[in-house]
Amino acid sequence: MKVEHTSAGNGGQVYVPIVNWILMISCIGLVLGFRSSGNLAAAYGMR
Amino acid sequence: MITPAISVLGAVEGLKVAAPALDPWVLPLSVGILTALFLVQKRGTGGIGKVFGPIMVVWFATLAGLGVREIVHTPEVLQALNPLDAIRFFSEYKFDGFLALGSIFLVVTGGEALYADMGHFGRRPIQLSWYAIVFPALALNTSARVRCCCGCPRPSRTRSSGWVRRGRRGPRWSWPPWRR
Repeated sequence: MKVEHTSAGNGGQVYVPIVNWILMISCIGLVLGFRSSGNLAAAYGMR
Repeated sequence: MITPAISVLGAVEGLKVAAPALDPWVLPLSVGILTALFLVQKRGTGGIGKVFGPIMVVWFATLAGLGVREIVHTPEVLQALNPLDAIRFFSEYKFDGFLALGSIFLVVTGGEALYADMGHFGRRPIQLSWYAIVFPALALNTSARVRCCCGCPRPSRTRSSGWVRRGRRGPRWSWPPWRR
């Protein structure tokens, strides 16, 4: 798994491409699946 | 996963309040914004911060400005910052007061995020952004909103649709043309 350090001074700042793409696809999937922030909030346990 | 999805979707849904005709664009726009945000992640916190930092400064300056605008009309609202009132509240309501904290629970998650960010940005940037920008701006804006909670002396001129209230709404010239 590739891990890129994006900051010279701050070791905690990393970019992991595969994780980025998994998160992107999941987020877009959630938006298209739930279609409204109200539905998402309900899934999250709020309201 | 849920947090970015719900924040972007919720923000874009705000467009519907201003312009109901934009309803069919909410989903494609949200997907577009999310894609763009994930595409720039490789630039790292520093690169993204160069773009979003100034935007956030403008945002907090706007909040502070809107707060000041209300405070000059009713300086009494600044009493809301008095911590003695919090002590009085808890000594009067006791356990019910503790339960009431449930409604401001996001303060806890926000505080937790602040400490997590400390490991990411380092101590100095967190201290600077919090004490010099975020805290003063939010204190001014929230005090101004106290005026809405305790009843506006001046009746609002527009139908208040829940979130469009005095203290959150800018001066008339800053509204989109179809709301003026």
